Order: sequence, then C-alpha cells, then structure tokens
Amino acid sequence: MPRSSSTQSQSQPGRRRRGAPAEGEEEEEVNMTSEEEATATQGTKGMSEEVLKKKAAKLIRLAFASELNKKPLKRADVSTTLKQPANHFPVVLSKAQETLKKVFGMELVELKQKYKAGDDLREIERQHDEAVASQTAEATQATQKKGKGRRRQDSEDESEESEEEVVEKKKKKGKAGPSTGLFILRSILAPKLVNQMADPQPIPVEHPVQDEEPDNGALLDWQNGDSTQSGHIALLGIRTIILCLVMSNGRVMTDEQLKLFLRRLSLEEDTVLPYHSRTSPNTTPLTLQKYLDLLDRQHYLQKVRIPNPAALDSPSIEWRWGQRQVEFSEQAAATFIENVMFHGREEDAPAPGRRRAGANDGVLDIAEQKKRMRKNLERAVGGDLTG
Amino acid sequence: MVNPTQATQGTIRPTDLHRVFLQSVLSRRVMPEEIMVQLYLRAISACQVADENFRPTHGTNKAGARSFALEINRILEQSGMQMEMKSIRDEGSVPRDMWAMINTDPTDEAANMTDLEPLQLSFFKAIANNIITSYPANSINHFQALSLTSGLPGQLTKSAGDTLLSTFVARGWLAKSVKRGRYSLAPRAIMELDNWLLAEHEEYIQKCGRCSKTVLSGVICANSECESHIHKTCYTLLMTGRTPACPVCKKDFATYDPKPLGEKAVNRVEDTTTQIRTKRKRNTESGANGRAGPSRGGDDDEEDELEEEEGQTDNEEPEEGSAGAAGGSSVQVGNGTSQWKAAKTGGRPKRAAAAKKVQSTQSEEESD
Repeated sequence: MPRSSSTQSQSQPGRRRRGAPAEGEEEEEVNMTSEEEATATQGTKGMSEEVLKKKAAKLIRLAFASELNKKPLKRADVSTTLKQPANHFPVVLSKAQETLKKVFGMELVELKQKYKAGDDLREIERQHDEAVASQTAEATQATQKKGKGRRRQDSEDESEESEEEVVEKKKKKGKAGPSTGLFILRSILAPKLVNQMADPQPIPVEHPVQDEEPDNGALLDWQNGDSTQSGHIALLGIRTIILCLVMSNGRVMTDEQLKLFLRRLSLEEDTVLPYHSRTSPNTTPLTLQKYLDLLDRQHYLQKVRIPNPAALDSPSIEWRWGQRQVEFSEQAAATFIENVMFHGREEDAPAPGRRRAGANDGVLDIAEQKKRMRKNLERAVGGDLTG
Repeated sequence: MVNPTQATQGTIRPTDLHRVFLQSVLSRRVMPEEIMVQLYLRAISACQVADENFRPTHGTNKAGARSFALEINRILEQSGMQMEMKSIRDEGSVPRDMWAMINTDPTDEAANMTDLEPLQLSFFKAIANNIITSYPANSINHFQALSLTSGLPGQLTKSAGDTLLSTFVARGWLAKSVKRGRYSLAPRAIMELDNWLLAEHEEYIQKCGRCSKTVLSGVICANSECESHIHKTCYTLLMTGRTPACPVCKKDFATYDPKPLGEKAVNRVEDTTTQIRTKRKRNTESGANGRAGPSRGGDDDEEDELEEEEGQTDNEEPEEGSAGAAGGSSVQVGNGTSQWKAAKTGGRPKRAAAAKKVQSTQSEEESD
C-alpha cells in the first residue's frame, strides 16, 4: 500500500516549513506528511530512550482507544495528551511504529486528504464554461479533484479518479499536500495469516456458563468487533457490499443509484438494520440512511454534496470511498468480489461437455475466469486498483 | 491462580505467533482460560499454515499457554507498554480462571473504558462504588443498579441504563448472577481497578486468608475474633483437608461454620428492593443494635439508608459504632477528569482493622 510520502519526493521538506521548529507551532503550517517529517527530523529532540519509549507506548494505547471508537487518532490530541510540543510528534510516532510492527503486527497509517466537493464545483464551472465555449463534453466529469493551485492537495497523486493526464500533471508539479494529521491502525500481518485468523470454529467449553454467548472461535473476534454502533458482523457485510458497488461503478455512485441497488437486498433507506453488537452501549435503531451517514463519519464512505449549478436548490449526493481505504483497499475489495463470485466453484468439476482429453480444463478455466473478471473490474473502476 | 511474574531473561524477539496471539487477545480483552488456551493453540496452527517451517517454542497445552503468556508479558514490558495479561479466578456459578489484558499505567485510570461517554462512565463508577459499599453482599440488584441513573451529572434514562448494564456484562466488567440476577464486579473489573479499589475503598477490601488475593465473594470465618475472608474455591480446597480449619485462626470449620460473603450474605428479599445506599446520614446507632431500622424523617430519595441489607443476618457484629465515621460524605478523589467518588459510609466490614490487630497480637505471642 503506497504511503503518501513515497510519491512526494519532489517536494523539499526542509524548505517549505515556515519558521524554526518552535513550541506550539501550528499543525496546519506543516505542509508535509508526518512521515516525511520523521525522516527530515534528526535526533530524538532531547528525549532519553526511556522517555521516548514511554511516550511511544502511550501513543500506542491512545491509538488502541481511538480504534475502539472507530475514530482516527489525531496528531493534535496526541501532543496534548503527552504534553509535548508539536514537533516531537514525528519522533514519538516513529518509535511507536517500531513497537507496533514488532510486537503487535500493526501500523499507524495517516489518512489522506478528503475528496473535496468544493473543488468539484470549480471544476464543474470550468468544464461547463469550456463545454459551452467549445460544445464538447468532457469525457470524465466531476471526478477531477485538482484545484486550481489554490490548495495544495496532492495526496491524490495516486488518485484513481483522475484521467491519466491529470495524474501526470500532478506528478510533474509534485506539490506536497498538507498532512491530515489523522491516523488509523492497520494490521500488517500477511493476508494468509489473517485469513486463518478470521476462520471461525466454535470452541467447545467444558462447563458453559448459562447466558454466556459461546465464543465464535475465530482468533479475531469479529462477532463483537469494535464496540461501536456498527460493531456487528452483519453491518460489516453491508458496508463491504456498498464499497464494492461504489468501486465497481467507477469509484463514485449517486445516492439514488446506490439506494436502487440496495433495494434489491430489501434495504430501503428507512429500513431498520436489526444488528447490534452486545458490547455496544448504543441502542438507537439504525436505519440504512443512518448507517450510511455513520459510515461517512467513520471515514469508510464519503458523502459528497454536489451543488447543482443549474438548479440552485437541492444538491445531489454522491458516494465515494472514504479515507479508510488504507484499511480496506480496492485490491482487497476486488478479492472479496472474486471470493463471492467464485465461491464454491473451485471444487467444481469441469463442466460436462467441455472436457477435452488431457487438459485440466476445470482448473484453468477458473483461473482464467478470475483473471478476466479482474481485468473487467479494473476497467469498470477506471484505473489500477489501489492497495 | 496464575499471575505471571516479570522475570526478565534477556530480550525476546517477537514472532508472528506473538503478534497473532496479541491481536486475538486484544480483540476480546477478557476470556476464560479455556478459551485463552484454545486461542494459543489456534494461533500456532495459523502460523503453521502460513509458514510450514514454523515451530512453537512452548508446549501445545495449558502449561505451554501459560508460559507463553509470561513471555508475552515480558515482551510488553520490554517495549514499555504498561499492559500485561493477568488472571484471577471467577467465583461465579462456574469457578474458572479468567484472563484479561490489563492496563497497568497507574496514571491512566479507566484507560480501557475510553469509548464510553463520560456520563456512561459515571454510571459505571456509581455502580462499582455501590457494589463495594454494599458489603457484605458485594452486589446490588437490578433495580438498585438502575436507580443509579439518577444522581449523575447528566440525564440517563432507565432504558439507557438497562442497555448499559447489559453492555457492562458483555464486556466483562460486571457479572450478573444467574440465580439471583445480582450485579457484582467481574474479574476484569477487579483486575483492572485493583489500584483504585485499594485506594478508595481500603476499608472494604479484604484479602483471602488462604491466598492473600482480593476476595469479594466466598465465606467469612465464624470465629468472632478472626472473621477472615476466604474465597469460595479456597474454602473448597481447605475443606478437602483432614481437619478443615481457618487458615488464620486455626479454628476448625466443623465447629465454626463460616458465614457467607457475597450475595449469599443477604436475604432474597434484597433482590427486589429498590432502596440504594448513596449516603449514610445517621450515625450508626441503629446499626449497633444489629437490626434493620428503616430510616424515617427528612429522607429524600438520595438519602435513603440501607440498613435493611445489613440488618437481616443475625451474626452481624455491631461494630459500626466503634468504626468512627458517623456521617455520610462523598469525597471526590483523583484529578478533575476522573471523578471517582468514594462514599465513605459507616457500614464497613468491621474486622478489617480488628483482624489485623488479632494477627499482630498472635504474632507477638508467638515471638515470645
């Protein structure tokens, strides 16, 4: 999964920073990612190894706590809680990453900039003008994130949505985008291992306690998941489907379209989703609409309001993937789709009548089909799958 | 009872097995030992599937799991994480060892409850306080728990309180007894809140006469000069001896049949009462009579006294008077963010101080 720092090599970290690293420096003025800063920063800011270790440990515990709430860890919050100047953060983060990787098999990943509808508006206007002027319609509309240089938001340099030329342009400009300062935790264990960890097999308990729910037996207890309102495994399923739909539709889908698809699953916008994690204290009934909004708040999806330039009243709403795509990438979504579509077919014998002497057609067919599907998917998505 | 110690024997390099196991434990936070062992075994097989050359370094059994947990703790300590795996016995209907990943940073109270809103956390604290001060019941019933939704710094509906109670049970903070539906502190809370319990409710916290760990449920030695508290399972173990006797005063259990500690110490009538002890207005006169004196006159809801709970059992020693503190007072403890109120009431376990006296005189005698 490419990190934002790797593609911003053309920016000069040292130059852009305003002023000396002073205490209480504003977070916003640091216009490089925290990781770039870490490499640019030298030394341990005068902290002893012990102190650094302690602070890093606290950061990790803060990260765990944030993950429980499904809220990203904020750099500013960390500096406040650890009672340290802002510029200590990269060093402490770096140490924390070390421990996270070594001991827990996890890492903190910074969220990229949000997709801004505001840019779209300008883009729409610009394109609209152009269209009016030249009477040619742009092939891809309203997918341009690129502002007119007013905001340096390069984090979409690996953007899947832009046309290739726009991506090229961005890369040429090579501007560093301001870091979001928001982090989430991510497991870095090998997928093979994670698959094993998700496999449930009920654990036989010698003396079961009455009223106690039997453990699902999977190493990762997805039954309870996090303890938020969305902790239930069924909600995770719905979320994954929505993400796959949006992705396959070219990475964006209008609200109407999405709801139309979900209607096929008997989900209307006011359908109450009767799934509730036992460990969540929240019991307000969760409708589909509320769940979509929750996913927006949790950064899985992004609700984009497109002001309608023609009719200045109700903006139309479209859905895109949110900043948590570092957690669940497009590749992962593609694998999910593959698993669903080819479920149970691995063991199928080659279709009767297709059998040709000597060839293990059955196996090849499946592999070939998967490849083909992946290719079609990429085409539908509109570019290489990220992650 | 297994409490992994922190013996260091050089730096340990974590492997995928450690990471897988840690992630599994973190996703559950608290689990019975049976499950913990299974997780360990499954983690091993998961690693073996992913890497056929993988070999576990500890036995593939309960003992191996326990020593592996020790290793995990050493690794956590090496990294300064201030977290460790601990286990204590759950003295519920099915006695078993419970394991939990505990935060050991003393400056970070309630670190594992940060996803609760402040109001929800206050509710939990009120419940925990009341459970401790409900001695010797060390438990409160459902109505009493729900009544604690009032008196909080904010609005909490009864139905929200209801859900929260289920959540606390699901997360392993509270235990709800199967037979009587009473809430007590579950192993995870006892382990996690160990420091706080000692700090705030020192006079209530008893240590088992046999194993010296905190005991909230079990039996009390019937010898009025001893009154040692003993875990149920510790007592069961003692009873298998030839002449079962109190480990502290040596009086045999046959003659001195111990009194109950925990929900058995209170009558079933208490399971439906709605009165809750928040403050103790009076001094301890009525308590001194050893009888229930329903409070009258000038009571408003918050000042209800709960002598009924104490007065039911006849063996209660009328020692409250001597304990000293008459009035009820709420003391705010800790810094501003963690407002754990210690309600210092008069109804403390009498023998906390006295027992120590007995023991010291005994040792004095012995040394002569």
